[in-house]
Amino acid sequence: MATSKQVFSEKFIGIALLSLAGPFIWVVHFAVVYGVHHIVCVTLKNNADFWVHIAIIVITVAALLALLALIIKPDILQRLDRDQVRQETTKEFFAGIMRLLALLSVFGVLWSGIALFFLPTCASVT
Amino acid sequence: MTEITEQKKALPNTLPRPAGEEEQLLHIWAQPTGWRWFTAVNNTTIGLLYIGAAFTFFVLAGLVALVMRTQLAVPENHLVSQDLYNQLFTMHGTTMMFLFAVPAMEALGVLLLPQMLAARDLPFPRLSAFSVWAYIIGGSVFFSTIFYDLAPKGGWFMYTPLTLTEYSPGNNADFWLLGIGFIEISAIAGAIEIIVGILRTRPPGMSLDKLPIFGWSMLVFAGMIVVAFPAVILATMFLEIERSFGWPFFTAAGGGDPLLWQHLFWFFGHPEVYIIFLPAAGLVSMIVPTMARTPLVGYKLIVVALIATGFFSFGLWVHHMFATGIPSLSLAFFSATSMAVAVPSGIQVFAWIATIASAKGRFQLNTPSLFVLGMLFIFTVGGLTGVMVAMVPFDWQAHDTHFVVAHLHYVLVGGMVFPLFATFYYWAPMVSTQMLSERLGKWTFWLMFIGFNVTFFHMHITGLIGMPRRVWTYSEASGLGPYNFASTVGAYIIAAGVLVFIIDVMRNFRVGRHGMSNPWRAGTLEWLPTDVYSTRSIPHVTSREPLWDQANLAEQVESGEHYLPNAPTGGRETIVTSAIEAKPQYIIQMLGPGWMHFFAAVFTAACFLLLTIKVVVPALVCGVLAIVCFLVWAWDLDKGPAKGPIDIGAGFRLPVYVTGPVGHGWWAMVVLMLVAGSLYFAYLFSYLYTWTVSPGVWPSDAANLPSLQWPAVIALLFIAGAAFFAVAKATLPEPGEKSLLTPLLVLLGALLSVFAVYLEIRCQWQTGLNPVKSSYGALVYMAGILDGQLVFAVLMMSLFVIARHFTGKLDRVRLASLENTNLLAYYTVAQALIGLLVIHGFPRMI
Repeated sequence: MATSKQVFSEKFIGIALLSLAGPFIWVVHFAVVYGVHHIVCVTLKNNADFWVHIAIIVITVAALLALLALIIKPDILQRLDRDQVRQETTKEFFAGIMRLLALLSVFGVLWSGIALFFLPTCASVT
Repeated sequence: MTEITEQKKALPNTLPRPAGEEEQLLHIWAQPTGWRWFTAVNNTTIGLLYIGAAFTFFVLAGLVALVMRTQLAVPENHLVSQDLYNQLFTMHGTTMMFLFAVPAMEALGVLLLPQMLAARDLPFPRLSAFSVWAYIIGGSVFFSTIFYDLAPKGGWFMYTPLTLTEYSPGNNADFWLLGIGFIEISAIAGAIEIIVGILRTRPPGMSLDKLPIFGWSMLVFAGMIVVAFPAVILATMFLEIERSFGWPFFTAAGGGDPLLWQHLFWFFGHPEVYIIFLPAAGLVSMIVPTMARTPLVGYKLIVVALIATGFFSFGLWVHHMFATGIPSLSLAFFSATSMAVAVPSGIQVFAWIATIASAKGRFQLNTPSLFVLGMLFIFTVGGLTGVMVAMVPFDWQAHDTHFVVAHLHYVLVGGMVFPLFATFYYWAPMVSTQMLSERLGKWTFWLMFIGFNVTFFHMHITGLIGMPRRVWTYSEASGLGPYNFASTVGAYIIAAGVLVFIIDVMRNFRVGRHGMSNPWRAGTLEWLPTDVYSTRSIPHVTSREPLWDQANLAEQVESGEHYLPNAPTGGRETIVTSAIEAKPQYIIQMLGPGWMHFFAAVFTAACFLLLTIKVVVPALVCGVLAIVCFLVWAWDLDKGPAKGPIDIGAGFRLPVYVTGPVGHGWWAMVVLMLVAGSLYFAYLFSYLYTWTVSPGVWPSDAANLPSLQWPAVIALLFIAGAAFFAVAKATLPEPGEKSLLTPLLVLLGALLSVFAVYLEIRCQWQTGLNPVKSSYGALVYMAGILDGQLVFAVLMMSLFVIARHFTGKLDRVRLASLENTNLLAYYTVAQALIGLLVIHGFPRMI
C-alpha cells in the first residue's frame, strides 16, 4: 500500500515542450519566412531578391536539419527530460508523438521553403 | 489490443462500505429545485442547458437560412428586402459560428468530460455555469436584434472599411462587436475549465497515453481557443474604439489599413474551422470503436493528427485573403500550409475507415453509425474542395462564389453537424431515461443527408458558373434559377430532418438515468453507472478501454471499491491527479450551487449590451456590480487545509489544499496568462504590420518621442511593483496571526503599477501625440489600454487579497489568492516591459 507522505510532483511543461518541438520549429520557420519576406520586400523594394532568398534558404535548411535530428536522433532532446517519475510506457508514447509530429512538420517546412524557387520574390501575380 | 500497463491486484477500498455513505453523496450533490435551479452547477445540468441553448441557436440560424433560400429560390425575387437579406446572412453565419458551433462543442466538453474522466465534476463548476449564463443572455439579446432591424449587416467576418461608422452608421455593427466580444470571453472561460479539467482531474492511472481521444481533441480545441480568440477580441476592440472615438486603426487616411482587420480576424477565423472540427472528430473517434467492437486503429497517429492540425491551422489565415493583392510568395507559404493540413486530417479519416474495416463485418449500422458514415462522405468532399481552394490560381477563380459556400458547408456540416447528431443519438442514454428512436433517427439521417447534398452540391456548379456569394437576388438570364430552386428544396428537406429529430427528442428524451448503464457496450468510463455525484467511487484505470479490459469494473465502482467512495470533507470534492501520469495529488474542494456566478453573468452581459447602445452610466454601474459578484464568488473558492488530509483508498492520504504549481488554481492562472500573451502578441503584430503599411505616420525624428528617462522610470516602477508583490509573499504571517506589512506591500505593488501606466500615457500625451490623428498614435495609446486593463485586474485582486488578510483567510499556509495575484502581477510587468521596449525603442531604430 502506497502512503503519500508529500504531494506527488512531476514536470509537465518540459515533456510538453519536448513533444511539441517539431511543430514549434515549424511555427518559428513559418513566422520567420513570412515576416522576413514581408519586411524585406517593404523596406528594400527592388533590392530585396537576394536577401529574401538567402534568409529563406538558411532558415529552411536549419529547420529541416533540426526536424531530421528529432526524427533520427530523438535522444538528443529526450535527455533533457530528467523527470524520474515517468513510466517507460509514457516515455515511449511521448517519444513517438515527438517523432511523428516532427515528420509532419517536415512537410510544412519543405512545402513553404521550396515556393521560393517557383515564384517572384516580392511581386504579386495579380 | 490496448496495452495494459499496470494491473492492480487489490482494489483501493474494501467492502462492506459504511452505512450512509451514498446517502451523504446524494445529499451533497443534490440538484437545486424550483427557482433555485438557476443556481445549479452540476456538470450534467449545465452541460444539458448549454447544449440545449446551442441547439436552439442552431434551429434559429437554420430558420434564417430557410428565409434566405426561399428568397433565392427563383430569380428576381422580392420576398425580403436587400437590407434585410444582408442582416440575414450576417446573423446566419455569426449565429452558426459563435452561438452554435463553438458553444455546442464546449457544452459537450462540460457534459461528457467529467463522465469520461470519472471526475465528480470539472474543477471550476461555477465558471462553467457562468460561461453558460453569459452565453445564453448575451446570445439571446444579440440574436433578437434581427427582429428590431438592429442586426449587423457586414457578414459574419465584419470586414472593414464596410463596418466603419462612415459606411455602417447606427448600432448594428456595435451589437456584433460588443456582443461577440463578450461571448468570446465566455468561450475562453470554458476553455480554461476544459484544459485544467482534462489535465488535472483524470482518474488515477489514466496517464495521457490512455486519455480517451475525445479528451485529446478537447485539449487541442481549448488550447486553440486560448491562442486564437484573443486575436479577434483585439480586432473587435480596435474596431469598436475606431467606431466610437475615431482612432484610425483601419482607416487608410490616418495611416491605418483595412487589411489589418482581415489579418486579425482570420488569424482567429481559420483556426475556428478546426476548433469546430477537432472535437467533432474526437466524438467520431469514440463512436467508431464502440460500433466496430474493436479499439481505435492508430491511437497515437490520431493524437499526432489532432495536435498537428491544431498547429498548422494557425498558418492558414491568409488562405482567406488570396485575392487581396499580397505578394505571390507570401501566398505560397499559406497555400503550402493549407495543403499540409490535409495530411493530418486525412490520417484521422483513414484511421476511422481502418477501424471499421478491422471490425470484419461486426460494425453495427445504427443511427450514430449512419451519421458517422455520412460525415465521412460529406467531410471528405469538403476536404477535397478545400485542397482545390488552397491552390491560389483556383481560389482566384472561385473566390466569393457559391463554390466557396458549398465547400465551407461540406466541411462544417460534414465535420461538425453530422458528428453532433451522431453524438445526440449515441450519448442520449447517458443522461436520458430512454434512448432516442432508431426509426426516427434513421429518418432524420436520410432527410438530412439527402437534403444536404441536394442543397449544397449544386452550389459547386452555380459557383463555377459565376454566382457570387451574399447576393440578394440574381437575373433570370443568368440561367441559375433551376440550380437555386433545387438548393432551396434541399434546404427544406434538411429542415424536415431536423424537425423529425426535435419530435424524437420531445417523445423520448427524459433527463435521468437510463435503465441500462452501457447500452452500446462501449469501453470508456462515461458508461459507468452514475448518479448526481457522477460515479460512486473513482476507478483506477489501467487501459484505454477500461470497461472492456478491466473485468467487473462497473460493479466495483458502483459498490464503492475504488477511490473516494464517500465525501470525507462533507462537501463537493474530486481527486486531482498529476498531468501526465495521473498519480493522485490532492483533493479539490469545489463550490456547489450559488447565485453569484449567475448574477455576475447577468451584470456582465448588461454592461456590454448597455455599452453597445451607448448608455454609459448604467453600463458602468452594471460593470461594478459584476465585479462585486465575481469577488463574492471568489471569496469561497479558497477553503483552506483544515479538513485534510483524507484517505481516498489504497493507502493514499491526500491533502485538501495545495499551493504553487501543483494547484489547479495556479494552472488556470497560467492559462489565463497565455490568453493575455496571445492578445498582446496580436497587438505587437498589429503595431509592426501597420508600420510596414504606413511608415509615413511613424515619427521620423527621435525628438518627437518622449525622452528615454520616461521609459526608464516607468520600467523601474513596474519592476519595483513586482518586487513588492514578491516580498509580500515572504512576509505572510503564520496561521492565526496578522501582519500589517503584507497588505501594505501588496497595495504599494498595485499602486506603483497604476502609477506606471498613468506615466506611460502622460509621457506620450505631453509630446502632442493624438490617438485620433494617426494609426501610430492609436497603437501607442492602445498599449497603455492593454497594460491598464491588466493593472486594473491586479488592483482588484490586490484589494481582494488585502480583505482576505484582514479576515484571517490569508497566511503562510493559505496563500493561493496571493500566489495567483502575484502571477498576474509578474505577467503584467513582463508585458509592460516588452511594450516599453517596442513603443520607445522601435521608432528610434527606423
